Amino acid sequence: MNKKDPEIIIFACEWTPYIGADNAGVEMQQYSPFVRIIRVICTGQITPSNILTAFKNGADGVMIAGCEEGDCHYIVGNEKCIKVVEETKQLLKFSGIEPERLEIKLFTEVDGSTFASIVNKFVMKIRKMGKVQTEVSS
Amino acid sequence: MEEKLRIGVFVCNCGTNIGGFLDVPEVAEYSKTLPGVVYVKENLFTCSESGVNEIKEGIKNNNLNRVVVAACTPLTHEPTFRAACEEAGLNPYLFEFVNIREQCSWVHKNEREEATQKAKDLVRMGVARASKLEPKDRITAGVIPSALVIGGGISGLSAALSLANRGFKVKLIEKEKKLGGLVKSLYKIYPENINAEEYINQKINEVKKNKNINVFTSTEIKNVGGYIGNYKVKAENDKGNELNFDIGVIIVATGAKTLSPEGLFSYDGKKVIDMLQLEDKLKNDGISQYKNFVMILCAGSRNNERVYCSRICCMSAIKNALLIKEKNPESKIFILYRDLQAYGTTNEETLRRAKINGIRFVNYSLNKLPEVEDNTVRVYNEILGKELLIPADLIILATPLVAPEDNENLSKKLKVTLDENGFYLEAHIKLRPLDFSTNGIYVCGTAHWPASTEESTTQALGAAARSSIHLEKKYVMVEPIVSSVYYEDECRGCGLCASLCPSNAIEMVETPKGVKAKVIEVACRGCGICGASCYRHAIRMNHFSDEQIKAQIRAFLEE
Ligand SMILES: Cc1cc2nc3c(=O)[nH]c(=O)nc-3n(C[C@H](O)[C@H](O)[C@H](O)COP(=O)(O)OP(=O)(O)OC[C@H]3O[C@@H](n4cnc5c(N)ncnc54)[C@H](O)[C@@H]3O)c2cc1C
Ligand code: FES
Repeated sequence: MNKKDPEIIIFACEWTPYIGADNAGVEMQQYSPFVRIIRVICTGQITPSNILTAFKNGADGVMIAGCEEGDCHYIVGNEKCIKVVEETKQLLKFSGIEPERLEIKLFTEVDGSTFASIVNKFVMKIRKMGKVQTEVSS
Repeated sequence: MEEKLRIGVFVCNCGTNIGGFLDVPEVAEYSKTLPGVVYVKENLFTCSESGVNEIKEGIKNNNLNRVVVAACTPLTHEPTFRAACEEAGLNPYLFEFVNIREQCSWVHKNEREEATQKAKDLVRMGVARASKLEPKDRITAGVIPSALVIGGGISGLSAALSLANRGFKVKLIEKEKKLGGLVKSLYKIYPENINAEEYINQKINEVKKNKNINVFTSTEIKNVGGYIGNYKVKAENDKGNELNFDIGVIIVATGAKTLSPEGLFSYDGKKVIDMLQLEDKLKNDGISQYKNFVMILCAGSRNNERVYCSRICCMSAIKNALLIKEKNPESKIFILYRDLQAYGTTNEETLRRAKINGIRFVNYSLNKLPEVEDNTVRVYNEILGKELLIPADLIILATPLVAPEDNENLSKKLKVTLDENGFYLEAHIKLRPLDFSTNGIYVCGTAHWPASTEESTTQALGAAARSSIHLEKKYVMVEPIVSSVYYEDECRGCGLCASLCPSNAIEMVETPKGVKAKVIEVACRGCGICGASCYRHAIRMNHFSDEQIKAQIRAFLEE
């Protein structure tokens, strides 16, 4: 990877967004190659510590991809994750990292074009913000 | 002592699906440099018989204790490769799947260099995660050979009979005084126009006579505890008696109601009635005094408030229009519709018959709703482009089936989901259309979505068949991807995890060291909400652990 390229992690629950990511492949929807997907069972398992680990190790952006509100396969996982993301944004602020580098997206559709366009939008945003400047301490 | 890692990496070309868009030999070569990797093999098709054999031989000849396959999506072939590991004597949960097709080669097909780099990163992340994997045994638990059916309409009756006839005990719970549901209020049932009362009474009698079925009417569910194979259900009847059942599987057949017509098209219950009232009039020979009938379809449905189609109203209206004509050939009947749904061969045939018999169909649109006046209905006909005044002695509103308000309550007790309209939502519309995503609970009939009796019965028999798999087997085997109280000493017994668990899979138990959380492994679906909420980090997910996730993150960002 070029030094200037952003390094972005997507935590994707294995339901709607992961299937969406697979469908993006099947439909050959092209999107930015700078994201790495980490599969989780539900966004409800993601902790502030997971997210901070990503930023601490040099991630420029983290997107959490879950299922639509009311459609989490474990009922409350995504709602819980929304709160985790809010809290973590505060922690990021304290560490001097723009909270906009963290986003949660709840996917209503499993089609590939939705997935690709959401990812591209996020990558574009992070590209505009540039690489993270501050060293994160935990 | 830590065993020494011996990781094997298999990189798939998938013909040209991967190899055509990124440099597979380079990825394979790179994999050899990763920590713990002792064996790397490039395959043309890893999922083919020869590919699978290469994995098995790789394991045996190199004493591998972890396997990483970089190929397509785990959603398709994870079971294939896990089985290959198992056959070669490696615990299947020491296998890690890296997706370099759907999530790499296919989505970066014009960026060979970046795609190759990404594939290398993904393999490095996979190897890092594999290093942290732990062997696991599949979890099995017994199943109580008894089913609970909630709702005694045609769906619940059919499901109960089907299970009982296969020899299983069934508890059938109906909240009303009588069994039968909505069909009890109907006159005849399309498409064959069989007598609704005879039909439902026959089913009710079969159920009552069946020794395997216990019927509880005027009874409601109070609480559902436990998990697949071993539910503890509390119910209460109208006399205030509490009933307790030990149950293996649950079928939800609670049906639907019709939307109240109050406030629609000058509804007054006398001259303007709803379709159920018409069924009642037909039953009791109460239509002979009328000559001019107007039916208004989609009354209160397919609008902003209720977007869905109730599916049964068009055919119920056409059925009843023909029945009126049969009783009273002189009658004039207009059906005002927005779109007509006469799907399938028999319904289409019925529609044709209605037209031949002089029943008139007039199209209207949502922007210009028909207006009910004294003895006439004013309707703007979209096709003619003009307003019509239709004489009317009796106006019948076809209101949609809607989800009972009680669904909210019962779904919470069962820990299953509802859709945006309040109907019960299946686990997967195509793959598991009658299952809930909570194992051991099934849905059928109009509880699921508006359906005819035929469709409801088909679903009921399907739900009975699905649930009987567990009853027949007498045990359930579940994936050992569950949470566990890993550091029991850290657990302070606060109970937060138990209250948040969407699967009822955590109980608080008394131990010599105080109250501790305990995971009921068969019930756990591995979402990890408990682990993420435990402020003591005592409980954790075992197959998507924090440690494993962090290993992936670090592996990506370290280079
Ligand atoms: C006007 C009209 C005409 C129709 N005409 C036809 C027709 O001609 N042909 C046709 O095929 N279909 C017709 N239908 C559709 C038919 O009524 C349904 O397909 C059928 O009723 C579905 O059966 P069910 O058992 O799923 O639900 P229901 O009949 O609604 O039965 C559900 C039962 O569950 C009980 N229940 C609900 N909640 C609970 C609870 N929490 N605990 C315990 N019990 C509970 C209810 O009291 C009820 O007894 C018509 C429907 C209407 C409204
Ligand atoms: S299952 Fe997708 S967010 Fe919970």
